[in-house]
Amino acid sequence: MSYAVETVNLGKKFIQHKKRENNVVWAIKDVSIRINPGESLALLGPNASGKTTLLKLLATLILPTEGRVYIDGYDILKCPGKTRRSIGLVVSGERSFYWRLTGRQNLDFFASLYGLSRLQIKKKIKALAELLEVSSYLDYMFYEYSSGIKQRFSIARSLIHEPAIVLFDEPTKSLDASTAENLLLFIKNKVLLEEKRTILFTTHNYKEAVILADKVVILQDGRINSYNTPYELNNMQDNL
Amino acid sequence: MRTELISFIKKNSLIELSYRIPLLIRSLTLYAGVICFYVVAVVFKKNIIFDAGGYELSYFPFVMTGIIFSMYIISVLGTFALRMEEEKKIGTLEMLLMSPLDFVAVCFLFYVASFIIIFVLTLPVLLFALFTVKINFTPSIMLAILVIGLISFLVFASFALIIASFIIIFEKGRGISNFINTTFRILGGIYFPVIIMPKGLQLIHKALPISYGLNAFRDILFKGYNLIDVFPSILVLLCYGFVLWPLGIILVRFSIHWAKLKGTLGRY
Repeated sequence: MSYAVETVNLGKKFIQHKKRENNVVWAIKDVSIRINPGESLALLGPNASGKTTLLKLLATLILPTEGRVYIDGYDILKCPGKTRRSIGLVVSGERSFYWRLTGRQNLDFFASLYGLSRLQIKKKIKALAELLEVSSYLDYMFYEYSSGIKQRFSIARSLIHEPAIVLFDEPTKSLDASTAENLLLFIKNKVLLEEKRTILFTTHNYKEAVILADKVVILQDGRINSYNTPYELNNMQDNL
Repeated sequence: MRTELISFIKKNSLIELSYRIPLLIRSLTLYAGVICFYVVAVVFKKNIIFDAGGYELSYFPFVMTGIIFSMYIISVLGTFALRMEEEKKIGTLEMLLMSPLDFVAVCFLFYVASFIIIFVLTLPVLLFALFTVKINFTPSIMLAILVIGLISFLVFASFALIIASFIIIFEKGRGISNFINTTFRILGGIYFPVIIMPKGLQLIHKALPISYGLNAFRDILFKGYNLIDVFPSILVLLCYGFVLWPLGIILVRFSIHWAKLKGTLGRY
């Protein structure tokens, strides 16, 4: 059985430009993770630990410096088209949507990029809107939505082509604590349990990782510090 | 591809229409420019000594054909550049790159959508031109115009790819699109005939693809040329296409690769 997501000694370096000197920074180094289909993995770590870089590498938006990435068994460098079909990406909803269009028009446009017919697009939008409880918001302008609703539309867009894997980049960013917890439970029940997707999400909040994840990878300075289940992590916390 | 094309046109049109006042001002500015040319050409007709450079024409038909041709070939690039810059700024470019569509196809779809928008916006100008510049449109003339128009459209689509690669690397494409716009308008023979330019600039005129498209367009309209007569221009345009399209594709692929290596796709 192939893994849903597998990275082998993945590394990414950037060159930071300063006057008269360039610094080489390894955003991530020697990162090897495996996620089984239907599992949920949290990338936990402080700012600049490499979480978003790793996520963007998996989403094929950044090219690795070293190592390999396999999505649904496909090497992302050799089969980028196939891997993109298997991935849905959820970024913070403030960017990456057309604010001058309605939620429906946004979903319609992004769905059309995946070769779906008009009838399929219409059915999917209706189904996803019901699943994510945004049906009453579909025909309002995107700029009129609250942050929580924008995030739900971001999730709807990521699911529209039925990807096997959904990547979340700090899904609760800019949400208040109560909305954040509701969204996480929402993701767990709808995306993970009901839709049975594989999930990888980044967070710097330990509690979020425990709510949603089957496994937690703690990143520090671009390297894996620990790789545990939430239960093992809790035990480690208790024993400290 | 048909569904994607309709979606791009619909999305871009809805966004343009959502800026009602700026769109109205933009359209009125264009119409005002055309009317200015008309007034100058007609009111001062007797005062203008005009040599159309091989055409037996007064100034207004000469400049109007240049404006019409440039609207659908050059202005489209400006709209394309603005739209592509916006996509990078608001983060939708990353989401487009997440889709299975090849980015070269995405650029072409944007270009076609930009053309449709410009076509609709400038329809009053086209109708005004048809009304004031009386041409006898025979089937052979219409066919020849269609072929020249289509080939010019496709050749200039390669410039859209070049502009897109600039935007991906430098985040701004207006500089290059303005450069193309200004150079082609001044040296392409749109506003005045080439024969009045110094010899050096006339040489540059001969090196520009728009010169062949525009000259063929005027030859068809005012000399009654058919497809066979403008075949040399068609051939030159096709040669430009064979060079510029691969160059555009290479530049776009390189720019995407570079941006993914540097991690700058989401930067704005």
